[in-house]
Amino acid sequence: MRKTVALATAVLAAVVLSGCAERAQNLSAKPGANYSGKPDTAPWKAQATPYSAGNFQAGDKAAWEKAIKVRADGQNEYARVR
Amino acid sequence: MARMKFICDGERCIECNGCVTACKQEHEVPWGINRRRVVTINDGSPGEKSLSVACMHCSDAPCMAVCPTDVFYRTDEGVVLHDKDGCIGCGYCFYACPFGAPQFPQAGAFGVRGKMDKCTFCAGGPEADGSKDEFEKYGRNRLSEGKLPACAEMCSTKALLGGDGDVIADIFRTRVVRRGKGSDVFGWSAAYGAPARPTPATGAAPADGKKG
Repeated sequence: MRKTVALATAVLAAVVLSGCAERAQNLSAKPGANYSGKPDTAPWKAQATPYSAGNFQAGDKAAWEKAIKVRADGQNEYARVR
Repeated sequence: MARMKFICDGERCIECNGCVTACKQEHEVPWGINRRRVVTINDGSPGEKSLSVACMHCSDAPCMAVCPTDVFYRTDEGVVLHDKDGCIGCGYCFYACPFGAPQFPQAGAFGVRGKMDKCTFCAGGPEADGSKDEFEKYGRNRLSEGKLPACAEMCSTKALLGGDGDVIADIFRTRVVRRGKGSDVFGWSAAYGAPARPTPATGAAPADGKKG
């Protein structure tokens, strides 16, 4: 009897917890079905300009993503103003 | 990184049109074209809500689906862009878009439509990043400068959030928990919540792979 209850609890917990799972949010680049326009370059491959923010070099995707994240976090006034 | 998104917080937007002005100024958008605009629902009544609306860079963009010249593409960052060189100004994308994002310059006395113009999430277009051509056709490429869209960064009340979906969702969640209300996000389900479509059966396609 105990085994059955334990098993049922485990199954129930697994089912309930599966609702907390998060689907992957990543998207890949997708051209139109017959896209014939010019190819675009990724923003993280651009050369730095005098107006560039953050400390990233052309081609350094991780650094660019970090710069963008810092910028996005700047919109959170709960973090900026304490 | 997940993908770039906009969130407009209806509890915070005060209809100042700062986002509209920032967009116009940043990209030198001509008179009559509104890449972004503020919409007020129940204007003048108690409880009115204002929302800043532009291209939502849909995950399954209807403009991309209906374009007869197929000039749209989606970048790795989830930004929906288009190549203006191939645009014929037919206006199909305008009818398909649930947010009224595509804009068409009036190119003559008889209202002939020019090439479509819309919000680029400040990501420019298919020209060399930061080039004169890119600026003249699509506006400033702020993403390649490590910056976020000017409209979101200029928003005085931070009603409009822009950036990586995970980051701005966290910001918005914190905000909703603190104030205890206003978790609705206008346009979210229309732009980002479409369920994945099943892949059509391959047996129906012609053998040469061309569409009928």
